[in-house]
Amino acid sequence: MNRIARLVVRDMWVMNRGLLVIQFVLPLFLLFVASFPLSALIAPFSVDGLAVTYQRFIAVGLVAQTTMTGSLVGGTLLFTDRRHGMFEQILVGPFAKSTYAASKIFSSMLIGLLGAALVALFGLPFTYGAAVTIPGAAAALAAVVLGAVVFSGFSIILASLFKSLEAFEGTFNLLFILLTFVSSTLYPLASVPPALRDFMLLNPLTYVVDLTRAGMLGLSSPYVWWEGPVLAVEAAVVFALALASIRRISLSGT
Amino acid sequence: MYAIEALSLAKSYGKGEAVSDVSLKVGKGAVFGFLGPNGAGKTTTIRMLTTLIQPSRGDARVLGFDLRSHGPEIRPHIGVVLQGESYEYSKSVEQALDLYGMLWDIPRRTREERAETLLDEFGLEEHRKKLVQHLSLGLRRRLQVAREFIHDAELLFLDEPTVGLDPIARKGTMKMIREKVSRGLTVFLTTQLLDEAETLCDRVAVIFGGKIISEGTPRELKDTYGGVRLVEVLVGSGDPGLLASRMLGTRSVSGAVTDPDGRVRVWTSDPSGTFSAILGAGEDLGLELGSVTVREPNLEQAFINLIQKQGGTD
Ligand SMILES: Nc1ncnc2c1ncn2[C@@H]1O[C@H](COP(=O)(O)OP(=O)(O)OP(=O)(O)O)[C@@H](O)[C@H]1O
Ligand SMILES: [Mg+2]
Repeated sequence: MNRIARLVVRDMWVMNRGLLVIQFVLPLFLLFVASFPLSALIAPFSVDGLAVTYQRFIAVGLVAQTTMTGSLVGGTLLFTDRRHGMFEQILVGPFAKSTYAASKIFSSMLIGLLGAALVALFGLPFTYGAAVTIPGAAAALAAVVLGAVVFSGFSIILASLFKSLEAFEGTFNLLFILLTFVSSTLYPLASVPPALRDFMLLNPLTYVVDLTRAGMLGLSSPYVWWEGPVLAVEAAVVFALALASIRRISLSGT
Repeated sequence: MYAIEALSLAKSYGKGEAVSDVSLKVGKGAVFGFLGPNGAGKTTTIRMLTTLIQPSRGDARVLGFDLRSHGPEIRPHIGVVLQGESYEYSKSVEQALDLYGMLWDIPRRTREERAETLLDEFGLEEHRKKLVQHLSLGLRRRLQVAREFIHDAELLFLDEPTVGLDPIARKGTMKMIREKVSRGLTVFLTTQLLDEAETLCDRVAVIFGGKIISEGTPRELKDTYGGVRLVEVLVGSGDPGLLASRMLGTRSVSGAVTDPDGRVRVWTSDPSGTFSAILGAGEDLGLELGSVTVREPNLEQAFINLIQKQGGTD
């Protein structure tokens, strides 16, 4: 087996299963519990001339949101490796730092994408009736994959900076909430006050959500045209930074 | 070709030097002991030789590859037990062993077989289902050492592998190492247990203040730095006290006592001179000498003498 693949397989075995389950709690709760009363409150609305129910609206948004959560969990893999000495141990084994770094990004992406796939499976019934086209689905998939790169890289950069588990987990939880609620996952950009919208438009999750919705439901917004290219550039930049941040972790401790 | 050939390796951190001059050669198939007091630079040297950190100065070849430029070629052929802990927190002992074998790309069948042997050899059989995070410190260390035998390293670095191991586990580890060495493994070992070094190592080097201050076989070190030797004389008939007081007046003898069982113990810095002096005195005093034995100094004493000579404490 390829070296990166071996490291990814190991990650899948050692990862914190508890965290993994927790990442599904919010999306599945919103999907199967909260979306019913909320849909009763929120009448089907129209985005860009297309009518959409709230349930369908958030079902797609939550797939993108799960990609983020899952990928963020990836950073804990690096953190625990460092904490328990396996980071160094692996690096005195047959692995280069760059191999290790790449494997961590892939593992994080894999967790994010598998999570997204699972939520998509549950969310599918809610999208029944949407006219999905192949190019649309491909665009949505591309957005989710790019999102996985961005958030994986981001969590790895974060994990490489923190020394204490408490600080890392605290920041992680805060980010998770902030990124979820200051994004277009739960409400359309058009419906929020301009000040909040500006913040939402800084959040890469908004791009992933918007692009996924555009691809799957044909819901467009005035922003999707630049969100795609910006997401792609962000993915490239964050990927490079994540590789570099693992490379610069010092191995000089005794 | 040597397994390790280091030439004036040095590593500095800021203004301080962790290692200032390490040159050594380790032959293939040998067990090389790297000894030195705390903070002498043992771990830093190992971290350089295993490619974890780059030397600030100097060069080395490990298994024939240049250390600075060929890390990726070196690492697949070495095994490393670092001084610090490393473990799979969330896995059981047997899962952790298997995962490690998988990382090294050992085929499943082979790694399962080896894992069984290792669990047995390192006394981990009864703990195999336990989570590594729940193991005691010593058991975790056993696992960390055992793990390194699941792949086929040509050269094994062990940084104080037996710290925290009970005597039985330590013996098992030594046995395992010896067995692998007999099949061609080269070992580079640091330890503070000098009896361990003495029985296991073909050669030892002593590092002090970042520099190698002595190198040779354990025997050579003992001969050079063993210092005062003990000579034991069994007196068959006659008064042993006479011999003791006669020896006290002899050159290079620093002490002589008579034991209640009739044995005379003489401490000398010149064992062979004192040996003949004892024989002469026995004849003079009309004693019948049962046996005269020159006791070997141990490596530990030689080490202490050597370090004290450098102006180190103990
Ligand atoms: N990353 C570092 N930064 C600064 N100084 C360091 C660093 N690593 C090691 N040192 C210093 O270098 C010296 C040698 O350390 P090293 O760990 O190599 O000693 P050692 O012989 O392994 O000691 P011990 O027997 O305690 O394990 C020590 O004085 C240590 O404080
Ligand atoms: Mg050390």
